[in-house]
Amino acid sequence: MPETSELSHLFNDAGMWAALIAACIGTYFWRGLGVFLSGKISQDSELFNWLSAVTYAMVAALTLRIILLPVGLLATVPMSVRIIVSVLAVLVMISKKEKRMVPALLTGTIGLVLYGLWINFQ
Amino acid sequence: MVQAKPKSKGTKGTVLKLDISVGPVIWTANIIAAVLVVVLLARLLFPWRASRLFWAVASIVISWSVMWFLIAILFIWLNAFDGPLEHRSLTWLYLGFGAMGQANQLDIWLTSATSFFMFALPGQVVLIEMIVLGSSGVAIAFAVTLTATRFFTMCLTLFPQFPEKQRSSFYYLLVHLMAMTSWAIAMKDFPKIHPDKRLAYFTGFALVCWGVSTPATALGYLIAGQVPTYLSLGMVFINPLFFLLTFTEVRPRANRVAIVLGAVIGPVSYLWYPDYSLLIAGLVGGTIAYSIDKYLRMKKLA
Repeated sequence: MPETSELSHLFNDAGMWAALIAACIGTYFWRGLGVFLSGKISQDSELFNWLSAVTYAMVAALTLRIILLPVGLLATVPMSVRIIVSVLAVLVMISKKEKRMVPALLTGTIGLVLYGLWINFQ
Repeated sequence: MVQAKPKSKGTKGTVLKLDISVGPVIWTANIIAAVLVVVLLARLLFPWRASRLFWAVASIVISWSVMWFLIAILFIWLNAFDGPLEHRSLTWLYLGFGAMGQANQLDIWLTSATSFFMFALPGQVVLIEMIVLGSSGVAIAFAVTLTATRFFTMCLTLFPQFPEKQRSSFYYLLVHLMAMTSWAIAMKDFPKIHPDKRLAYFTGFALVCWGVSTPATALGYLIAGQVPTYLSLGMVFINPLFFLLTFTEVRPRANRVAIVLGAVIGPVSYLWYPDYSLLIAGLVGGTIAYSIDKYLRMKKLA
C-alpha cells in the first residue's frame, strides 16, 4: 500500500490529534444538547428531518465510496469482487423478513476472506 | 404450601439478558479501576529518581498491566462469542474498526482514542478515511459533527422514558455511552421494563457497549497486524458492509431517497473533490432528498 502511507504522512501527527479532538467535541455536542433539551422539545421538527437525511446521505456516500473506490488494503481486491460480495450479502439480508444481519455480515466477510485465500494460494 | 406464581412470558427474556450483562459490567469496572491504580502509581513515581523502590513499583505496575491486558482479552472474548446479540455484533464491528486503522497505517493510540472519546462508529470511519485522504482538519471536524446529529434525536426519544425524578447531571456522563446499538435495545425493551428500573438497565447495557469498544479496537488493530492479509481483508470489510446492510432496514422515505442520492453523489464527487466529497454528498444529497420528501408530503396534503 505505497500510496496510503504517503498520504497519511502528509497529515502530521498534531493535525490528526487536533482533528480528533474537534471531532470528539462535535460528537459530544449533539449528545449533550440532546440530554439538555430532552423532554422539552419534540423530535418531529422539519430541521431534524433534514439533518437525518443529510446524515444518511453522508454515510451512504462514505459506504459506497469505500466499496467502489477504496484506499489501502481493500484497493488490492478487484472492484468486481467487492461488488459481487456486497450484492450477495445484501441478498442474504433481504431474503427474509426477520433479522438477517449476522448471516449477511458473515456472507460478506467470509466471501472476501475466501477471495483472499484463493489469491494467496493459487 | 405456597402456590407458585405464574411466570409471565414478557419478562423472561429481559431477566435472562440482565443476568448475562452482569459479568461483563464487573469486568468493565475492574478494568477502569486497574487503569486508575496504574495512573496513580505512575503519578507517585514521577518525582523520584530510579531506585530500588522504582523497580519494585514498576514490576508491580507491569505485572498488573499484563494481568489486566489478559482480562481485557477475556472481556472481549466474552462479548464476542457470548451474551446478547447486540454486544456480540458491536464487538466484531469494533474489532473490524481497529483493523481498518491498522490497514490505513494510523497510530494505534489514535485509533483507540476515537473509540474511547467519540464512540460513534460512522463518525470514526469518516474520521479515519478523511485523515488517510489528507483532508483538512476543519473539513474532518465538520463532517464528523454532521454524522453525529443522529445522537440528538436519539436523546430526545430515549431520555424522556426515564422517570423525571431520576434526572440528574449523571445523564451527561451516561449519554456518552449511548450508541445506536444500546439505543435500539433500549427502545425495544423499555416498554417491558418498569420505568424506575430502566435507568439501571440502560446504564449496564450501554456501559458494556462502550467498555468493550476501546479494548476491541486496540485488539483488532493488533490482530490485523499479525494475521495473514486474507484475514485482515475480511476484518476491514466488516464496517462498510455493516453500513450497507443497515440501509436495507431504513424506513422513512426522505432517508431512503437520501441514501440513494448519497450513494450516487458520493463516489462521483470523490473523483473531482476527494477532500470535500462527503460534505458535498451529504449536504446536496440530503437537502434534495428532504425537499423531494417535503414536496410529496405537501402534495399528499393538498
